[in-house]
Order: sequence, then structure tokens, then C-alpha cells
Amino acid sequence: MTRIPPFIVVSVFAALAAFSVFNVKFSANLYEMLPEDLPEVQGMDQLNRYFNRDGQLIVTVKAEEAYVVNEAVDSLSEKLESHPELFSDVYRELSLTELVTEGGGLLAWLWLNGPAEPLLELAGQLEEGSSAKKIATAMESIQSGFFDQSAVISSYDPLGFSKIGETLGSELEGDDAAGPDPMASEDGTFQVIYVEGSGVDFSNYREAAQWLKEVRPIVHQWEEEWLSSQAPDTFLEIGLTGTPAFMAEVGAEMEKDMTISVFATMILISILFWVMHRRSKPLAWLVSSMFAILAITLGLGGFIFGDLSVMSAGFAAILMGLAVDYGIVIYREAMDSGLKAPELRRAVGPGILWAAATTAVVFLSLNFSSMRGLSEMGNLVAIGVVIGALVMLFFFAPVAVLFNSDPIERKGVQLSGGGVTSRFAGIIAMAIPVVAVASVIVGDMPKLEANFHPFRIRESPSMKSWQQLQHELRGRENSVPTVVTATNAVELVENLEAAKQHIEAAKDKGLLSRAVLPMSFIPNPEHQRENRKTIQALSNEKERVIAEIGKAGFSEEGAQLTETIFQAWESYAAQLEHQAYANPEGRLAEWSINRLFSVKDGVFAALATVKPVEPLDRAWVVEVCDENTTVASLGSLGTALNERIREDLVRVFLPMMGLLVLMLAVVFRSWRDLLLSLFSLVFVTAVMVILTVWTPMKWNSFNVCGLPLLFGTGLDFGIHMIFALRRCSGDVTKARHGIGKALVFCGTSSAIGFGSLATASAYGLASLGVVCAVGILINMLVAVWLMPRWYRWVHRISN
Amino acid sequence: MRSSYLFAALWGSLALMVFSPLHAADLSVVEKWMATNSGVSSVKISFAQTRTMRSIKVPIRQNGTLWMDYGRNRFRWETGIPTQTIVTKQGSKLLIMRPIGKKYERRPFGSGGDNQGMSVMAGGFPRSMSEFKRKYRVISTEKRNNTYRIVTQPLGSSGKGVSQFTFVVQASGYRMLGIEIDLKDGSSINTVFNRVELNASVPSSLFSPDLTGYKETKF
Repeated sequence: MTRIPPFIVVSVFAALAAFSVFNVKFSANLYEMLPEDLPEVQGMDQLNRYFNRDGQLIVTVKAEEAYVVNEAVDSLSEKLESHPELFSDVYRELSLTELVTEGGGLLAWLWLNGPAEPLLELAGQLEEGSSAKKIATAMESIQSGFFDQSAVISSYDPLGFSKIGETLGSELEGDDAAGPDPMASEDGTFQVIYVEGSGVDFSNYREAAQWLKEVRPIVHQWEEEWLSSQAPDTFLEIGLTGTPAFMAEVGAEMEKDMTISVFATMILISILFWVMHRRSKPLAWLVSSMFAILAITLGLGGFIFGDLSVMSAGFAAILMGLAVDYGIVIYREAMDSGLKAPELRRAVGPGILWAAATTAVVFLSLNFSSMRGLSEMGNLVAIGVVIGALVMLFFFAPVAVLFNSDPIERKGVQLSGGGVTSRFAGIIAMAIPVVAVASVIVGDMPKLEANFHPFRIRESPSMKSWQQLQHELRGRENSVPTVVTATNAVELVENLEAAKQHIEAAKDKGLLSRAVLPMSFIPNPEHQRENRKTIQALSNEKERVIAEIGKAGFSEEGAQLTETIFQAWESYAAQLEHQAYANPEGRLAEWSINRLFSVKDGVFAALATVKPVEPLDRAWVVEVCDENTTVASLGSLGTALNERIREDLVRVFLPMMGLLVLMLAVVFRSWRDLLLSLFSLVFVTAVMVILTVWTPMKWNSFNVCGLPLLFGTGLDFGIHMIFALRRCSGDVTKARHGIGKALVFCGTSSAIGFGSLATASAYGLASLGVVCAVGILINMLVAVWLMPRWYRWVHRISN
Repeated sequence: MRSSYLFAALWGSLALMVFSPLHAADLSVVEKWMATNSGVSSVKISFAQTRTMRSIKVPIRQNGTLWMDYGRNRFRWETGIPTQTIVTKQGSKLLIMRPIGKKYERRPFGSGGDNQGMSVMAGGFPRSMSEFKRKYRVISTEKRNNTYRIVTQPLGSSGKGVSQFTFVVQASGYRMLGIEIDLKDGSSINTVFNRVELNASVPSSLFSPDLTGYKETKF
């Protein structure tokens, strides 16, 4: 085995690991990693489940002038429509003519779905004699009036069907009569095109990414061609956002994070191994063992948990950093003892298995956290370290013993005292806690970042386009989607009424500045049943009314909308013979209603919007939400997570600390060593506080969960060092050269594992990586260089 | 061989003559027109308007008068003999009156009902080159008979629903003779200025019509 060239060994196992990484199914649904009982998380889940279309891509178009946007949107829509293999439908802002030809079905449905009184009033205006008068008034207004948009609309809608918004105004949108245009900014310099993708399974992010890969060149090529036909200084900005863009981005970033962090960890650990041991063949087998551990853990993790989340992408690097330690112990023992594999396993096996079990328990303790993503990562690392111990014992150990016939030279670095004298260690022991307290007084008390979203992806083009969309479309900024659910249509109307009461109360208390309730866009079986006879009767008047319109001087185009409305009523009346409520007909009607109303898996859902005065505050969430109403609020989610994590820390961390103190007392059976061990934790905490106050390092709801890991490694390193010092009667140099060297390797490799996450796409994962890497390095420095001096001082050992 | 080159060159130059817009985006015409507007504080225009709409069988013709007071940002627009409609704007308010039927409506100016190019008339014509460039993009300028036609695209919200906005000015004195608005739905509005009075008297009463006996409504 030792004759196989190292690069072949590594290549084979690296390919195996790469195959495993690319076969893992990542879930791009970020809300699945958050506490499920929070109304904000439930809101995001429901918004995604009932209203997000997996295949709906949103194309944003921005220019300096409205006419440029119009021309660009026309041209781009045409280009997209010419690719039916990729797009099943393209929706853009409709022109007036298109609204006339396509809006009839929606208007007819809105009249049918509204209260009986306005429809009866309309029916009265359409009676013989009245209708002709109304049409004549419209014609007079068009002929002699100021020629504005209302005159143009009247010319296509002489009977005023489109004035339903004014009739139902208060019910239509709560207190806000005019909702924002969902397709264009007020000044017209920004428009969106909604594109329905086709040809792939959009629930699979890899297929979505592949689809997007085909879409981007089409859009890019169109942009180049179109700009070349415009004036040289024409500005145009195209953005792609929506579910497929998000999914493709998150999925690709997760794969990239895992690959980069694993390879970075491998390379850095290899360099560390080389510096400390200067051997290439055992290194190749050690790296191969780590690839094998990764492949087995990924396979098992996928089997147990199904899709892995964005946070789990970070587990691999942490695992590498931890598992390599077992390999190092085996390798050192094999070199020093010259034992055969079974004997070697008997010698170091129990220690390694116990160490793996302890580490697994620390990572399993993350299950007490409310963050589901963090729990999943903890479980994966826990499984991984156990697999790691077994792979190292049964795969690496038999190979490692093959190298002990070739005695190693004492090469590599030897640890020095680093200039740490007893005096220096004493001064620093007093100074650091004092500086920490002073920093808190002078600077700021370390606290959790208020507006932190752990799963937000850094440098996300689709998120930038989405934020631009929210900014450009009037009233969208800080607007929060609110989902109301029920088990049937009648109950949904009742629940919407209840939500309206809650929202009104929140508005009265000054918690909300705006609310848009889609009351008229949600099927109302009661209204429709009541209005059925009226629309049936109206249908009989169709021929007469159309003739009157023509007689008054309107052209066929001028009568088209009225004709479509009568036709739709006929169809809706027929639908109501067999159904509880009529479904809207026509492309525009279906698109408009489906954005606000959904039936899926037996759940009826409606989408409202509220605008909180203080988006980060949670008082409005408490006021608005109940068992049927949830809000997909990212603003208050940060606050909610911080509240939850504080509770977690009190509930989990404090009892855990109590238990650890008890355990330490049992382990050391010495109040001096117990005190020393606890002081080292206080010291490390003080250093972290100073760093938090004076450097960009900040605590948030995600990385604060790394505290148990830091305290765990701190205690672990301390125990090893104190026992080593006991064994060598407080000989600092001896302890440093023995256990010190091992701790430096373990601490550095773990810090490399965590530190490689600093480049992760998700803010939470990156901040967790940085905090844990820094914390572990401090733990290591304290245990190797300061603790021996303090030990001598505590035990009053003189020179 | 040589004759075929000659033939191609001839076709090429002919094609250029046919397809190149004459004096494309020649802003000197606009500059000269703007020069006639300097120092104008008010204007009274008697006009004849023809609306050709896709939704109406026959074109609508009407005569009217437009008063504009640039200094105080107000206008009065009146059509029909006897008067059928009066529209006045003072600041941000628009008042629409129908003397026949004695009804009126107040609405905020810019509430979405006053675009389709008419806000250009209501907001007053540009009086300086910088104002013109801020509000319009010139597509082409073209000399036709004794007029210049400045074909533009209104910028900003005024351009909503408008495909082209054409100013017609005198070829000799550069005075404005009319405007033509082509809407995106295929409709058009052609307004011919019969008489233009610069710095006309614009008493305040013109912009605050008496509403006694009128009933408020929504047209």
C-alpha cells in the first residue's frame, strides 16, 4: 500500500468525496432552519408554500427614462416569448388596449364576488332606458370634456364597469384605496416582467440553475443587441430575481462553500502536518482518510436528514478540523511505539472513542438551540466525529503502522516559551479582565446585532434586484406579506374579517402605517350565491346594451370590454350551477387572483400586506398574528431570534455551565485546579469581550450559539494541560513539548476548520466560523503558554 | 462589373435619401422656437381640436380657448360654443366644470387622470432650451411646407400612453402653430392654434370660476 504514489491515493478519495458532495441534495428553503413556532417563520413557510411559484422568474428593467424602459420591456418580452422551450408565459404591464381586451373577465368576476348592493345598483343602471342615458353621458363627457385618461377609459368603458374600485374602495384595500402598481414604478423608469419558466423541475435547484444558465445568455445577448441600436449613452440595467434565481444562487453558493472550505481546510492542515512532521506518504493517507470520512458522513447525513440546509454546508470543514486530530494521535503513537495495528487500536482506541463521544455530545447539545439549522449542523458534526474515529482506527491505523519501520527523524517545529515569563503571565492575568471591564464601560456592552439575518447570502445579485424592486415599486419598501389561512373558502372570508379587525386595532395603536387586504380578490361564496340571479338576469340584456353602445357612436373596440363582461357573467353563472364559487376566467384575471389567493393541500390562503411603523419591533406582530394569520417579516425576525437565543442561553447554557463545574470538581478533586480551569474560561471570555468592543467582530443570534463549543474546547485544552503539568510536577517546558505540541496541532487544525467558513456565503455561518476560530486559537494560546505559569503560581511551585 | 458597382452605389444613395430622416434631431429649430418664448409670462390660445379615437366611430371636433399664466402656474381651458367644459388649474388642484348640467369635480392635478399628453398643455409649453430638454426627447425635426415639425417623446410621467408628441412651428417666425399627440392605443389628438396672444391679460377671476348653483360630482 505504501508503494502507491501519494497523488493517486489522494485523487481517488478526493473524487469519492467530490462525488458525495455533488450528490447531496441541498434545501434552498432558508426558513426551514429557523424556530418553527415563530409567526414570522410560519409566515415565510406559508408564503413560500402557497404563493411562491417555483418557476416564476422576475426580470427587472431600469433606465433613466420611462420611454426607454417601455421600449426595452416590449423588445425583451418579445425575445423571451420567442423561446417557448424555456418560458411558458411572459407577463408585463398591459397597455390600455390589452387591458380592454383582457380585463373583462376580471371586472365581471369582481362585480360577482362583491356585495349585492353595488351590483344591484349597476343592474338598475343597465335597465332599458337607463343604460342608454348612461352611455350618452359618457359620450358627451368624451366629446366635450378635458381629454385626460378618464376620457380614454370612458371611451372603452361607457357604462363604467371599471369604476368597481371606487364602489368597493374601502373593502378592496382596507383604508388605502390605491394599491401600488405591481409592475412599474410611479415615474415609469422601472418595470418588471414576470416570466413563467418551463421545461424543468424548478423544485430542484440544480435544474433551476441549469435553466437559468440557458436564460442568462439570451437576456445578455438581447441587452447587447438592443443597446447597440440605441444612443451611445443609453443606460439600461437588467436584473433577474424570483424563486428560480434565489434557488439557483443559494444552491450554487452552498456547493461552493462546502467545496472551498473543505479544500482550504485540507490544504492548510496538510501544510501544518508537513511543518510538524515533514512526511508526505502518511500525509497522503491521512488526507485520503479525511475524504473518506466526508464521503461516508455525507451519505449517512443525506440518508438520515434528507435535504441538507445551507448551514450544513459548514459542517464538513469543522469535521475535517476535528477528525484530523484522531489521525495525528494514531500516527504519533504508531511512530513512537512501533506497535502493530490491533495493538495500536487497543492502545489509543479507547481514548479516541471517548474523545469522539465527548465532542459528539458537545455538538449534539446544539439541539437545545431553537435554530433548526444549527441543530442539523451539530448533528452532522456529531455523526461525523464518530465516523471519523472509526475510519481513523480501522482504515488509517493499519496504514500508519506501515510507516513505523522507517524511523522518523525529529524534524519539525519545537515549541518555545514565547517569552511568557511568570511575571508576564501574572500581569496579563490581572490586566485582561480589567481592560475588558473598562472596554465595556468606555465602549459598548457586547450585544446581539439587532438587524441580523443569519441565512442572508452575501453578494447576492438576485437579492439586490429584489431589494431594488421593493424600493422602486411605491409602497413596497418595508411592506410585510401577511398570510391568512383557512380550511374552506367561507372560513377564509371569516378569517380575513378577523385579520382586518386585528390590523385595524394595530393601526389605531400606531403600530401599522398601512395595510392592504385583498377582500374583493378572495372568492366569497356567499356573495357569489347572492349575486348569481342578478348576473343571470343581466346576461339577458347583453344584445340590447351592445346595440345601444354602437348606436351612441362607439366603435366595435369601444364595445369590446362591455361584451367581454357580459360573456364572462354567462360563464360564471354556469360555473355556479356546480360549484360553491366561480373561478375567474382569462389570463389577466387568473394572474391577478392567483397572486392573492391560493388553494393547496386542502388549505385556502389569502395574501395581505401590512406596513409596520417600526419593522424591527415585535409589538405589531403580536397584535396582528393569531392561529390563522402569520407575517413573513424579516425585520422582526431578527429581533425574535435574538429574544429566542437569549432564552436559549439562560435555559441551556447556564445549567450546562453548572454541570461542567461539577464535572471539573470530580475530575480534578482539587479546588486550586478547579479555580484555575474556571479562571482560564473567564480570561478567554474577557479577551473575546475586548475583541467584540474594539474590532469588527460582533455577536449575533447565530454565532453566539458557538459559545458552548468554545467553552467546551477551552475546558478540554485546560484539562489536558493541567493533567500534563501534574504528571511532570509543574515542569513548564516538559509539558509544553509533550501535550503542548499536540494542543497546538489540534487547536490550529480546529481553528483552520472553523476559519475556512469565514468566506461562506451565509452571514451566519461566516460569523460562526470567525468567532469559533478566534476563540479556539485563544483557548489554545492560554492553555499552552499561560496556564502552565498560572499553575505554578496557584500551586506555589517556586523556580 | 463596373456597371454593377455603379448600380449598387446608386441604389445605396437612393436608399439613404429615402430612409434618412431629414435634419434628424436638428435642435437649432427648437432653439429658434424657444427664443420666441423668452420673456413670455402669459398666453391666450384659440384652438380647434380633432380627436380621432379607436373606440369612437367618428372623429370629435371642438373649438376652445386656453389661457396660461406662467408666473402663477395656472391655466384655464374652455371648449364649446356655448361653453361645454371649463377646466382650471391652480397649483396642485384641478377643477372641471360643465356649465350644461351645472356640475363640477375637483381632483388633485397629477392624480393619474391627467396624462395622455394633455398634461403637457396643462403644464404649459417649454420656454427655454433647458426646460425643453428636461421634458422632451427630440426624435426628429422635419420641414413640411411652411412649417417645422418637431417630433418628440415626452419624458417622465407625461409620456405615459403617448407614442409621439409633435410640435408644429412656423418655418419663418418660429411661432407655434399647433400640436399633434399620437397615443399608444392608436388614437390621436390634433390641435391647431388659430390665434396665439402672447403676454395676454389673465385676470385672477379667469382661474377661479364662480361655482354658484353647481353641484359636485364625479365625471
